[in-house]
Amino acid sequence: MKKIRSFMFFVALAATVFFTSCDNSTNPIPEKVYSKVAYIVNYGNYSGSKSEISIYDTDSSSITHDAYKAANSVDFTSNIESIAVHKDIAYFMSNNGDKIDIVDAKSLQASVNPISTDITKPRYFAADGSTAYISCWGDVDDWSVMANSYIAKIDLTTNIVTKIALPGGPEGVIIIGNSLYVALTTTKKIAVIDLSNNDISYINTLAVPYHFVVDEAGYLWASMVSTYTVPVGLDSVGLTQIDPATNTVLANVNFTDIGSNGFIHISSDKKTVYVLGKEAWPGTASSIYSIDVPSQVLSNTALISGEKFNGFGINPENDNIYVFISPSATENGSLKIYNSSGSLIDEEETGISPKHVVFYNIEQ
Amino acid sequence: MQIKNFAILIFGLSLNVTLWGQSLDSVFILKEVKITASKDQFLVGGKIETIDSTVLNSVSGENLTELLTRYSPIYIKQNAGGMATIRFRGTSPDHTAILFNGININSLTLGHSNISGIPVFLFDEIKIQYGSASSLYGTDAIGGSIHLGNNPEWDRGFNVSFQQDFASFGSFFSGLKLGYSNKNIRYSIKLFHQKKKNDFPFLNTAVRDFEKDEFVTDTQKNAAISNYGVLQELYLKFSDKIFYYLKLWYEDNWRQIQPNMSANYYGGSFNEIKNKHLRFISGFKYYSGNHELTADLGYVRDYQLYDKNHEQIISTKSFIVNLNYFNTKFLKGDFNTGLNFTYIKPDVHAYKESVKEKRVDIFASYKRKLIPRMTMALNLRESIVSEYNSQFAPSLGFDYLFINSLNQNLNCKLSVSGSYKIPTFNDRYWYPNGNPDILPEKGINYEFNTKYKIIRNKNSFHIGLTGFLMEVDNWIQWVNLDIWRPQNIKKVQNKGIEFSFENTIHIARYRLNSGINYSLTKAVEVKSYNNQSASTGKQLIYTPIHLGVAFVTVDYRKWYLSTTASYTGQRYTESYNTLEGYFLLNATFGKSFHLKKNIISVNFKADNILNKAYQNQELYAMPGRNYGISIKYSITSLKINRNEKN
Repeated sequence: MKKIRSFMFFVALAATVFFTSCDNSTNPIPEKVYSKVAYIVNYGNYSGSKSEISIYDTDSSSITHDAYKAANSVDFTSNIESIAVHKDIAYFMSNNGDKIDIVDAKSLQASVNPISTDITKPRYFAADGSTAYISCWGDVDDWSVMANSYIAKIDLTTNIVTKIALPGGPEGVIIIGNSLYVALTTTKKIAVIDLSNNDISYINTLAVPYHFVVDEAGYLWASMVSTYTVPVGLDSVGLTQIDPATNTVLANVNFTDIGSNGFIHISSDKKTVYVLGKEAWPGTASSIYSIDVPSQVLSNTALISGEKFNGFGINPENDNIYVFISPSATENGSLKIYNSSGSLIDEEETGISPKHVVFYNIEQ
Repeated sequence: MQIKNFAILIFGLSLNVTLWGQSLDSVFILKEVKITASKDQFLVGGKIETIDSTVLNSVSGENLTELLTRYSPIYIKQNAGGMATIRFRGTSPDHTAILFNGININSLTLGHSNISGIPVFLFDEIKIQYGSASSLYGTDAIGGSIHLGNNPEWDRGFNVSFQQDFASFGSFFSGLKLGYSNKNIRYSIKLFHQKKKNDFPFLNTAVRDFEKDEFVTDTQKNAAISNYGVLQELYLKFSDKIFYYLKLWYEDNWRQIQPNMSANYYGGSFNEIKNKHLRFISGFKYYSGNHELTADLGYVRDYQLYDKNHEQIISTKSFIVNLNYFNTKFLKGDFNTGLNFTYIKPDVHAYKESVKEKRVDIFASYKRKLIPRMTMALNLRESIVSEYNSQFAPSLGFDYLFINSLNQNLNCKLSVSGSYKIPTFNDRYWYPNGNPDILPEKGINYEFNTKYKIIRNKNSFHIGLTGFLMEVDNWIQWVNLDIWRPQNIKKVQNKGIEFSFENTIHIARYRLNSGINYSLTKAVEVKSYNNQSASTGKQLIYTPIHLGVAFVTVDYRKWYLSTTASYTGQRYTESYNTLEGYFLLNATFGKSFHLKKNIISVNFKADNILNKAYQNQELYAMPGRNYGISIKYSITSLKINRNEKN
């Protein structure tokens, strides 16, 4: 009896040891050749799984996941807030750990280490020549003020960062002429930084600015939302058109259902601005509306309707609209591609919380 | 800081006096009503384990996390920085009730407890109840429940014990217990302070140096903890019929929030969190013939300060009244009935001022022998929440003794039980994200248990097997809908097997105790109320299919050697990446010295002996091999002369 008992114990113990020593083998991912791609940023989960890049091949209408890992043989271990491609280099504005990843835009391979000195909570990227400007939130003590936020000015030849202090939670950035326009999300102001001397002036707006596009006439459009800390009336939200020559507001287009992230993009002819609506509550219905730039009129009905829209992008090659759907922060989302008239063309699974896309022509 | 803690303690104590007054009134008014402390006897057909006191002693300088990960087959999701949650039988952290003398201490705002803030030192009785039991323990008892308590020992004189531990990475623990009891009074106070720097080195596999083509070596930052706590208990026997009790538990827990491996190297948000908890319960028990009445009052205060931001305090106060009547000869069985009334007032920066809530639970249990070898129990509970949903949870269980002889027994149990989780205050009231229309989570649990036990001389052997099937509907999860909101998003089916065996043998002067606890859990989303769900049909994230612990303890005279081994199987992360399973080995050896009534014991421990680099939670570093020393001193049964003559 004793022997049997001891035997059972050791068998169980041995089995436990055995389980641990079994490793799953992984299949090598065959290398794929692309020409025109959409790099999709799956944000992941802030406190859990991190970001990854999915590559949508616009020629073959197929998607490949975990592209960063495939290119670098390591997991990506931060949350990518946004992505930009400048001079054949892709930059990931990464949070948690805070850094700017630098990868080859063709291969997604990293050969230099990320920029992390003086980078705290980076948000969005704008660049002109060999200088990049990245909005950063800095260390946040009070989210309703964001007193320590700044613009990280990066010399892209040396990757050395200089800080331009800019309190107010900078988000969207865009360079027009010699000025950097910055949306300040804890205020009703757009900051204008003169890049020759870093002088800052402000444009007052009706609501809280988030993102920018530039139209065919060279006018700046900014999305305007209401936030928890800076609530504004429904008649003040929507889009604002600004003349960058005078930095004055030309028009305000009211869109009461604008989404809280203020995501906007523009068509390739720069005559139509697309804007992500907020989700109906209760419920999960989402929509994308359009604004005709010349007439400054918002579409009466949604161009695209669905559920749980998390972000979108416009392919400048053909004006196809890439809509990202995220059912929750713990499960994979999806990509739905519509043509410019709103008909569904393709649908693919993505990683967790897909949000941003950049289009890149590898064979350019 | 110390003065502040002390001030709070004094406040807590003065509060007792106030509540004492109230409880006297209540008892006189509610003379005919009564309460029992333990409802466990009505858990017929279910599985409940009482943790062995030698096991508790071996982790007395640790928290519930270490106790459960080393000795139970329950998955704990944890980091190294003082954050750990229970995922019982594949359920979520919100699905385990943690009860201190019958009061659920889960956070009302968050819905669960951080079990790394619950010290083993304060308790001499910890029970683990597996499976749904809302009919007995109310909300949250879906996956299981943990019961924290103490056994009053009368007439033991003065007892003093002291413990001091030192361990790697700036870790230390100091604990003091003082107690006195005679035939009519029992008083004890337990105090502790636990501190960990947690600045352990590790290979940072999340950070690749692309220029050198290697992973960086790193040291964990911002993962320190510092916990203080005190538990006071007073029992007074007025007569053989009436006895009074008062329990006051105060905790002050501070911890830094461990950054993930990437943020640890590159920087990110380094934050800290402070929690204070006051748990108080006081009441009377009255016995008369077959009747037993209990009436008590409770007060629970939870307070959380995030990153020293006094603008965003999260705190709740609960006032509790419990009434219970127990009858041992009711229709040839045992009958228990009663009610719990709770008034909750939150003070949370993101709630509207007016938020408050009343909850009334009415329950009844009946147990009897159907035939000589077969016992059955029926339990019913209705939980009513003011201006919200009410919930009904029944359970029915059977226990059949196939063999019942002097030295061996074999029994089989069957049970079916309902369970529920009332959505948290954050789920319903957080502005603007809260969802007032959110439904309670509802579960049903079917369970089969069998256990065989044989005792011969001082040797014993037991083997147990459990099978369960559980379904949890209206599972709540926060999802990003333009803004984050909680929703009832899925139905989950959990099924599994638990196997345990334990063997104690004596050979010459050696005592050998060994055992295994293993669980196999399949937890799958079977239905989604969310059109785009990609996880239907998949094993839930952070739910290992295989989990097992094994332990061997050898005693020889006053020497002691104990080894525990645990295996945590592969788990899926949010992105359905797999986290590798890991095997951990820990050992302790020590000796105790007895000098009359004084006992000194010295223990050395080595944890993670194999120096395994592992991740319990994706991208969070855990310490490698580490060591500790523990010195315990106690002096017992210092009776006053009068008792000694007895």
